[in-house]
Amino acid sequence: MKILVAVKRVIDYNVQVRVKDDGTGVVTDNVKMSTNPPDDNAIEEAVKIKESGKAKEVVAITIGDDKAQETVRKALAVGADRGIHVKVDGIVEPLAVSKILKKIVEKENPDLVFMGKQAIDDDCNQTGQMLAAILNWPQATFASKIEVKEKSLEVTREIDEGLETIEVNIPAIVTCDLRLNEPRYASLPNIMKAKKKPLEQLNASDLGVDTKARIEQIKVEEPPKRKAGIKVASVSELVQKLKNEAKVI
Amino acid sequence: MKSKSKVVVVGGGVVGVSALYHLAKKGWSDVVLVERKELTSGSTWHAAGLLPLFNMSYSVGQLHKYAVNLYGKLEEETGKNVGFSRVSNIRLANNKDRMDEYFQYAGVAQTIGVDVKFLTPDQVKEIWPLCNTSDLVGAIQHPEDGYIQPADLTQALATGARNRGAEIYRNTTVVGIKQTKNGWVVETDKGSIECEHVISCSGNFARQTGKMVGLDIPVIPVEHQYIVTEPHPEIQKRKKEGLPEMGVLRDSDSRWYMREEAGGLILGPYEDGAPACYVNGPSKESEYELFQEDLDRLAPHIEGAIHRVPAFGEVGVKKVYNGAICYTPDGNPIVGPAWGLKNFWINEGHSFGITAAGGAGWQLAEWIIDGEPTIDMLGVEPRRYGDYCSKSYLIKKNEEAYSHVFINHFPDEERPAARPLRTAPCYDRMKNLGAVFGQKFGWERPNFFATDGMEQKDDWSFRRSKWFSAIEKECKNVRENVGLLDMTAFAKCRIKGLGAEAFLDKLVANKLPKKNWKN
Repeated sequence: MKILVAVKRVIDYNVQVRVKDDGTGVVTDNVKMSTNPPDDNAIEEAVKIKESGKAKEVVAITIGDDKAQETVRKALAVGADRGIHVKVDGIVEPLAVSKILKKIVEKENPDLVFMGKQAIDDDCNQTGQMLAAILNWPQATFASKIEVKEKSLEVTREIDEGLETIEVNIPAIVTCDLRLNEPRYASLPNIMKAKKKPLEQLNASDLGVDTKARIEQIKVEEPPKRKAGIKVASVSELVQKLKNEAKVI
Repeated sequence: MKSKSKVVVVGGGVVGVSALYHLAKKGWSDVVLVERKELTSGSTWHAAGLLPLFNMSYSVGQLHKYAVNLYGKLEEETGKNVGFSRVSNIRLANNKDRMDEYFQYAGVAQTIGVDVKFLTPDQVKEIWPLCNTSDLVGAIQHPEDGYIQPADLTQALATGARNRGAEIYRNTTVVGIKQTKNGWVVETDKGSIECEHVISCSGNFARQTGKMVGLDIPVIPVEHQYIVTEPHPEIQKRKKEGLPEMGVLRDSDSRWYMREEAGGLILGPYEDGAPACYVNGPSKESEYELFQEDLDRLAPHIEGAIHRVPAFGEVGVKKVYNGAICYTPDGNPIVGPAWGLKNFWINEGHSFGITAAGGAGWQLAEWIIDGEPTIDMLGVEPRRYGDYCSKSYLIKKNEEAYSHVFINHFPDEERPAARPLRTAPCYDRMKNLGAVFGQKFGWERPNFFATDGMEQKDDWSFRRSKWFSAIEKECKNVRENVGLLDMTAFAKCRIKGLGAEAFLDKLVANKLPKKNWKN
């Protein structure tokens, strides 16, 4: 079995994101970037399945500018066997990402495609679903537990009502939730060795995929600043304020 | 917010808060500190918290010694735990030159009054069982030092200052500093404060603060990274058995520090190629900022660390911190009165800010309140720099100072970056005569002339170098014949006014010559 895992380079989750002065986007110059957190869970799960002997190869793929390669290298350092970098500059929307992934799936013939449930930069939560649609494969989204069976997967999903367990036939797309596992840290010798693992470089245009934006972004704004709170002296004052000022009770 | 105060401290990192604390401690309670964001949010919060007593400079060594002593007593005074782990610190030597450096340093330490012990490789192994000691020549140990939690230290100093009446204004940005007849006005986005003294402790913003009063403060930060690993079973086992922490380990020849952290290890290398950052200052929104890590440039040091402590390579990397540390061209901070501006004080360029903050604040308080410092502060004197420190010079020199943190500190060392900067008209002629140059205040001056087929190149050592015979000849010649010096490195001081003659007579060994006396 072969598992393809898609990883994305995003602004690090610890960074306080700042909007550009002209409102055209967020500041990314000199900002610390890292792998989209649920993508780390996707890689971890694929590597665990390989370690259990149920998969033979884990291939990590990223789509983005030259620096996106760092994200693939990180996946290689924790156990992926080889990497693919599809070079695209600028923002790539989920539809274009899924079209690129479809081309790679046709080329690589994986049995499973894993990725994070959504990226923390655009919060789209669309790529896995779109890829399933255009490949006409089954999908299991928000996976918090994956059990590999003979020709299918048993996947526990995190849904609003609680947990849902479904079975999907292989080949399938799985998008991973943060509860799926605890991603391991790469040791320094493995980080060094990852530099020597094969990394194939492709251009989106070579794959015949049009990455032009379909969505027009009008403006990016900071969320409204929270006002400072006040201290109330007593419960009765609190109740009075909730009733008369906040008008919530 | 007060509209009047004796002193305004600009900047709420550990350096500024310590200055405020010491002013208040010395009895000036009417003092305030202004911080644009939160305390520690510049470089203090991401510092590794090490308290290295080791320093080749007498002034800096004194500041560090005072700080380590003070930090040990802060909890008792303020009730706030500062996370001081007095775990000792071992510096390793892989060769004879490095041992020479330690022998020379031991002399400095003895003068300052800092305890240093010499260790054999076997003694190192006893303290640090995870350390490979097979290729070591020896080591020194500072039993008194260790590390501290920088944010907790800052909060404790802030509490100590507030308890004595000092006030701290957070989220208050200084927008202008104006000199008045009697002192200064510090303008902020929340109002102005009239004061007698201003202390600039603005760290990464040093040049921006300097610009407000027309000072070109030669500080540009450099990126520094340290790696934090996940817990290692061996270290966790030691903890369970109740064994002491192994202490801070420094492999000077592989250029890194290492210490335990939550059952794992921290590694901080001082590599070549670390870039200057915030060259034009951080953005106005900057706070708690880290940069992208770059492990590639640390590769040789990581390999050295795994050779020295194999356990370090056996566990995963939890986090890599890459943040700004302030630097000056010689790597020492700038502490003292600003040149040409009365009652404006500079406390900037701290590359060992956590360790130096205590001493720098202490001496500035002495200087401001009593009129003079109580230790020799020549090593951190602001006037050692001048207008030769252009931005491009600073970038090169500060990056060099960073990469030289662990380079052997030979007494006759002349660092090569950004040279030649200023040359005399006869520079080429002297070079053709065999001059080997050094740099003073940006100027190239011959240190000696290579003679008798000697290579025209520096030869640094803790022992007698090849220049000895060349300089011997120069001295003899000047004594017996005539020598020509194109530029002296000595400063000229004009002393005038009532009592000048009596003052000078007391100062110099010889009797002063008569007025208008001609040779």
